[in-house]
Amino acid sequence: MNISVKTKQKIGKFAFGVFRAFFLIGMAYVLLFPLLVMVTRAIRPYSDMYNPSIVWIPSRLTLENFGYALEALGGMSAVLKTLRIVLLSTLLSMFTCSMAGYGLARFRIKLTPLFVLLAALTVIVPIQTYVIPLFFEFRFFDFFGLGSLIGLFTGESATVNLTTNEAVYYLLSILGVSTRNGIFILLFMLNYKSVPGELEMAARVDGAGEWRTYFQIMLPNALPSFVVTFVMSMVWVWNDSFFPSIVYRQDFFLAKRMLDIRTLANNALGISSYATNLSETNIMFAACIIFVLPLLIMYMFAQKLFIQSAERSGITG
Amino acid sequence: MTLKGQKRKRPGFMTLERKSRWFGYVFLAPWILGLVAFFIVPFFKSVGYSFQEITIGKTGLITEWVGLTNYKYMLYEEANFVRQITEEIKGLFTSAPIILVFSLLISLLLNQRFKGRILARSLFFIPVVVASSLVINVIQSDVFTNNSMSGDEAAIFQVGIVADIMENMQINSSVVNFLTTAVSQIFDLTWKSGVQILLFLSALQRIPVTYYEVASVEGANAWEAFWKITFPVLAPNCILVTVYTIIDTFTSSSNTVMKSIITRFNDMKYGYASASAAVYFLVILAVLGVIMLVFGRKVDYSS
Repeated sequence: MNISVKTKQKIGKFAFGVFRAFFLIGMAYVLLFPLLVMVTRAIRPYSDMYNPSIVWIPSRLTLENFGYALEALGGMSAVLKTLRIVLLSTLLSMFTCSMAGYGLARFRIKLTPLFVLLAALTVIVPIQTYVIPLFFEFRFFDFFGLGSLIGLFTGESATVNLTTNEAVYYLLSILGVSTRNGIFILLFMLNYKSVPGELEMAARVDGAGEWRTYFQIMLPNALPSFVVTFVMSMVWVWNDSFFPSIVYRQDFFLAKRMLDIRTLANNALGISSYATNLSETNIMFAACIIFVLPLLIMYMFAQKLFIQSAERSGITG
Repeated sequence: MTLKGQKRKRPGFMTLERKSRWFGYVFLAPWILGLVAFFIVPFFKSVGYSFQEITIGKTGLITEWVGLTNYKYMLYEEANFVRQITEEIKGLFTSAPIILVFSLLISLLLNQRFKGRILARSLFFIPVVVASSLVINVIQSDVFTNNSMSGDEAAIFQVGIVADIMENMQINSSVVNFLTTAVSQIFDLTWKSGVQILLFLSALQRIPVTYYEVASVEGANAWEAFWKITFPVLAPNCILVTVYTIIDTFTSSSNTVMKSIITRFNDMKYGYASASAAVYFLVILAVLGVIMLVFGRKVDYSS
């Protein structure tokens, strides 16, 4: 009797395992399908496009598409410049969001509930609703009123046009109001709240000041939040095409170029589309691969740490 | 010595706390500056702009008060905007439940112990990293709208026959529509649910294993354990996931309303663009409010 129940359970478990394997593999196929399509499209010549016998494996491999795709995206320099902006502003965001999260978590400030609400609002209110004044703020940037103050004496207020300067990214990041930074602030807040108070007390007793307590005792405990913030901020800033198409008016930003990649691919191909036997569709897919590649490489390095951190950091309401 | 220490403790503690409060603002200072300068002020300015006609001068803006003209034009003369918004909301009501159920299911599976779990997890989080609507747009522009698609690739998305069969069985056409959109959008939806899976998974990780052990000792089966233990913990996360999905859908660059706001901005109709953005924000707020009202009450019951 006892054994039969056990075998019954075992069979049930096995059947469920098979079901789970099938389901997950099927889902993984659906998930990877776009990536597979991208790769197989990007490495095939134009003649394969209308050949019905070719589905996945092209008749011959070609890397020509990538050359044109890179040209359409503005060359290697555009990729590197975008990467620099995204990386730097991510690091600055991490710095400020961690500080703000710590300020909200460990100090008895009366206004804390209000600040938490505001942090949530910065995420919920889409940037589209206030982007127009934001644009003018940067178009005629007066250093938080300092420029206008100077204007009182000189007669003309001193303003700078920041909309063509990548400083606009760094400014928003160092002030913790870049793309979806409110999420990161709340994440850090929850993380710092979970650090035991004894740790802080011990540091205080040992004579550590506010800054030392923060940098030496608290920061190491927030590693999960740092990892999640790094990955997600990279992803969100990299993929954000709205901000660069409205506020930051430079053409090289990759997400902005991806918006009208078809036209750009056509331009890159130019008259040579007849000569080289390539199609703009294939070039578009090659461009997609170039576009996601930096993030994929980053993910490969960070994935183990990221998944563990994401599970531990307690991103919940 | 202890007495001395106790005597000193009280005033010392007070000053420490006062100092500590002051220092809290030091940590918050950069963010508060950013919040005021680049969030609160622009937000209220934007509301003001929507009542104005705006042109760019050499050193600043030239504004002219026009009252409700922008709003009237948007609501009564340009029919597109209202239609776009209602269509976006309709789309949301089909996609959001699917994303919710799908991410819940996947996170429950990924939370179990099995061989290759690590690999499965890193696969399912790839969308978190590469799923930008930019890339999805390119893929869809080819696979779904371009008839040059050949071969079997598209076969997994062909639902026409199934839909026909279901219609013959006289199943309600709205149900059939719901199912066919679910299936035909399946890779779109899977790619959109990466963060949601992450949110559910992080909640699942925090349920102590002992709960399930107790439940199995008490004789509960897996189904009961799910409804009695797992679900109550996940219920608050359902709201969070829904809210995230709504925000993600409404702010993605493939959203038609967003596209039209950008177009207006590029046409230098700043006042008009502000008015549409304000209306759009009110709509989002209303949708979020409805979701909170409906789901918030349910969560209170379960917990």
